[in-house]
Amino acid sequence: MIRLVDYTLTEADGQQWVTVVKDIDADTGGVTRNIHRFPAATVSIRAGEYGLTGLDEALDVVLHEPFLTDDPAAALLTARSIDAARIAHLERIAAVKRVHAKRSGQKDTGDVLTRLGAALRIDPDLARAHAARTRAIRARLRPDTEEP
Amino acid sequence: MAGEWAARREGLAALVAQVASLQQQINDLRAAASVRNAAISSPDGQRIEILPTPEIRMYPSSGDAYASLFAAPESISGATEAWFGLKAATNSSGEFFGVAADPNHLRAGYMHDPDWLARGGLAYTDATQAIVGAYQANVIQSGLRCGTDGHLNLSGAWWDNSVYAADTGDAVLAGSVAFGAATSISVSYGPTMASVPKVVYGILNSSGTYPGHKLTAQSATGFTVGLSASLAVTLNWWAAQVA
Repeated sequence: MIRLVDYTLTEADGQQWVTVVKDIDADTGGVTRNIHRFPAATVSIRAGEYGLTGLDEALDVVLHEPFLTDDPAAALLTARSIDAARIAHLERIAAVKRVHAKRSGQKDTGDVLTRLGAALRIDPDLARAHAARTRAIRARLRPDTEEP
Repeated sequence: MAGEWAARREGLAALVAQVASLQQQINDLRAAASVRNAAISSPDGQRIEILPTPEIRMYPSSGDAYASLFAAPESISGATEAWFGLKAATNSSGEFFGVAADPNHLRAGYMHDPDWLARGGLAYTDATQAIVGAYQANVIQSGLRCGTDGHLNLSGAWWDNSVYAADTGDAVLAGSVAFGAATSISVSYGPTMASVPKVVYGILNSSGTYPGHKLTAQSATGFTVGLSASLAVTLNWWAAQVA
């Protein structure tokens, strides 16, 4: 289980950044504390790249991505379609969650996630820009596929 | 007596020939002078003017804006050798895009009139180097210099990925981030990169603790460093897309 302990929002030169503190149950037992820093725009970017359904899904993806060890780029930019890439990426995220499955006796701090979700938003212009960017790169790498 | 007259006739004939020759030279000079300020124009105002400075000005319309090809005796580098310049119409600040070449070097890019100070993007070559860069008043702000001696200079600064989100195609990413106490620290780049950037990092901490550490995950979206002891560190890192 990856539990959110706290988060902070900071701004540097006009760009907003998120720092999230997470507690992670390792397979080997014990808890490790992870601190994750990402641009607040990442949720909008990821929603645009993969065509995610909304902020909750995008945030879930972003918070679990630091534990991926395989290659999302290959899927996003070279899969036969963006739909296929999205399905594959969500499956990888689900696999990260399975590794860190919830153990009995641990309390869930879902309120941190709720508050973080309320502090962020999907910027539709930014999402559209990154959707277009992804299509443009895919057109070069996978000219055999036609995206909608 | 007859001999004297004959001699005078010959002298007169020589004088007449000389006058005719001088007249021809005057005519030639007049013709040359008329060419020195020639103008060829079309009914709608397009025209070419040839100036003695020397300069060929090309006017694409009846207006005053022109592009020109010109030569000057003193080069940008100060040598008194012929050099040529090629410039587009000047903007309201008297600046223009142009090309300049003299025996010592060639500049293609944005030049500032009248001093030809490099400003903005510039492609430059001379006998010992090639430079592609962006300049302010002749000082390189960012760019690449390649020397015939085999040396490279890369000027400027990478975008700090702890301040600015990366761009999908960035070849090199870099950042420096201070983290609170944790046993793993993660950085997300922002966009999904075109490939998985290969991460090189250093951790900065002035305490007496020497933790073990390693890269525990890297993907096209970011990376995670694990520490053997919970410690607040500054993570200095760079990552390159390798293909």
